[in-house]
Amino acid sequence: MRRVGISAKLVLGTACILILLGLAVTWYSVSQLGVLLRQQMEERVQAQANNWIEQNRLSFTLFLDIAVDEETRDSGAIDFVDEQETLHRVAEQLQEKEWIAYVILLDQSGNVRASAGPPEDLVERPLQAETGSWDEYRDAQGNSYFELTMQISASGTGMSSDLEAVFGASQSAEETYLGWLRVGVDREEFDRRLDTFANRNIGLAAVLVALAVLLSFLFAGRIVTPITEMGRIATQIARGDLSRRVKRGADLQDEVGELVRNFNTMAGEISLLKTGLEKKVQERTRELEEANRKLEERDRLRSVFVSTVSHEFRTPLTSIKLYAGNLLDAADPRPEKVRRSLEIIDEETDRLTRLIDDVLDMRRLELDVVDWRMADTDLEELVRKSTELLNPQAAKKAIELRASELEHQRVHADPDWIQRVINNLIGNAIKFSGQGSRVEVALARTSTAGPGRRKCGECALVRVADSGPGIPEEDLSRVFEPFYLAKRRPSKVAGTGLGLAISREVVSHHKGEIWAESREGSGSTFYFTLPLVTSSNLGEPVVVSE
Amino acid sequence: VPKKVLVADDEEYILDAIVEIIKQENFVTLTAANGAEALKLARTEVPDLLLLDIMMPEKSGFEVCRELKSDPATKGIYIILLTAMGQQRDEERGYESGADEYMTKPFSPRDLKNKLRELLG
Repeated sequence: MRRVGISAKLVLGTACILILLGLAVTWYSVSQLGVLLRQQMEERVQAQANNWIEQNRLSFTLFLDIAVDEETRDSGAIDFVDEQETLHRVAEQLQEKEWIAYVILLDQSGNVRASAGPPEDLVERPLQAETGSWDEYRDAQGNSYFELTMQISASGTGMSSDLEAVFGASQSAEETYLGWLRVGVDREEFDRRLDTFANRNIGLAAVLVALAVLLSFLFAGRIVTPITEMGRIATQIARGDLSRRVKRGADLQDEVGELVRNFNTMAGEISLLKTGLEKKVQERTRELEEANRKLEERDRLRSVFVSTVSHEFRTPLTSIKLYAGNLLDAADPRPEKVRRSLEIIDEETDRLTRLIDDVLDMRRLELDVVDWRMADTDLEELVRKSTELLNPQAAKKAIELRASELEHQRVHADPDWIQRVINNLIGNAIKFSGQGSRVEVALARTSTAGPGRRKCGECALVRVADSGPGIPEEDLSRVFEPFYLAKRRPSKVAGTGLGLAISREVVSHHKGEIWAESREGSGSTFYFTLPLVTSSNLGEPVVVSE
Repeated sequence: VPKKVLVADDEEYILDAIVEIIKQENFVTLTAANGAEALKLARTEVPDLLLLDIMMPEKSGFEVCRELKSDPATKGIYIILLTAMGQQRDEERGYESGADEYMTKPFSPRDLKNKLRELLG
């Protein structure tokens, strides 16, 4: 029944009930009709027979009552033929009446005196039945007959008073009877009439059932059409067309009508809700876009600001450096004191330039407006470059710069910035180490990071160890603060005071860690880690970010 | 024939100092105080070398560089961009616009002299 719709179910159910009802009613009415028809027929035949007996009582009195034996009849003493003829004519009169198929007249002794229309084999039969009784007989051909047997009484209202006077009427009316009457009704005729009535009845029932089924179909349509449409519209609403409403059945005053109206109200609410939501989302999106635009604009302005500051500082510094240089290069010999002053101007110009660069880089890192260029990077290569770059500087102090235990370690990083971090750490180590000492650089793999050696996943570890004076315990965590070391370093050691602060910002941007370990008097070791490019993050395309 | 060097910078002091350095090396110097002037002079004089500041009024060094390098008559001019911004992105933009070299301010007279001798000597 899954594929059968509500409409079909309703109609089928109604039709089944109606057909069963129709069958029951028809069956009952047809059986009742048979009983009624039989009753009607019997009454009618009886009435006709009675009437007929009343009308012809004289003839019966005259001709039937006389007991005539064979001898008498044959002797011709009585005009038997004439009597016979009269009785026969009278019998035919009755036979012509409605229902009646045959009539048989018998005398008191049961001899057949006259008949009209009976089948031959039914004429001579012994009398068994009582008066007024109905029986059924069958002739040789197989035709059935209902037969009424009646006594023809001598007295009755039908006899005229003068005749009664003539015949004296000495016997009591109840006891006196003239003969017997057998009236036959063709069973086939009865059945045919019954069939006609029954057929009419069945036909009417069939028409009524058909009409009822049709009506139920129409009613089912009234119920089902709005529901079907509701289903269709619900699908369309689910697909996003929220303007759809059910039109069929909205005016119905029943449960279906209420359902349709409630459905439409609900659809309206959903539509309103959605428009409200959409509006809200649009508003939020606009707000976010605006905020984002503002942020971008702020970042752009910050970036431009840093660039402009850089430009504004560098322009006068360029002039200073060029003029000092020109003076130094001038052909005329200058006093030594002047030459030395010009050299200091030149050196300090360079230092100021570096300081400005570092301050502005620090600012860029803090403002997060650095133009990162992330790439798949081999740290080993960067460490090697740094040692090569700084070897001359180390050589000046006869420091052995040893880069041992270097392994290829691939990280996702901005190579220029990481290069700066390594340069800074090695540069510091050289600066703080004494003449003829040693600086060791190593590159390895680790899974712990920080002063407490916490778990950090697979990382590359860069280690730079010097043999300088070391850093007091309380300063170890503060060396990465801007300008912190500047206060403590020997006056001869040049630096901007921002190197470690910048390094910390850069490493933390790369999700790595930077820390220092030291014991006063026996040198310091600086470490930093960077997450390794592993098989899990190798799949990602290496994007060079803007 | 003495080699011609065009210097374009909107900073007067810097312009003068650079001119003095070039003169010491015995090259002919031409000067421009903004981008448009630099472009005009480069087209009429077709110098051997152009020292081109980036941040200039009228037209930026990048624009001047791009226009000169896209013109067959001037694309042979060797262009050194001078910048005071000192950021990697600016350097890349410089090469994108067709510059041959890039010098970051401040630089010393000696750096420039070495460069001149290397290119024109």
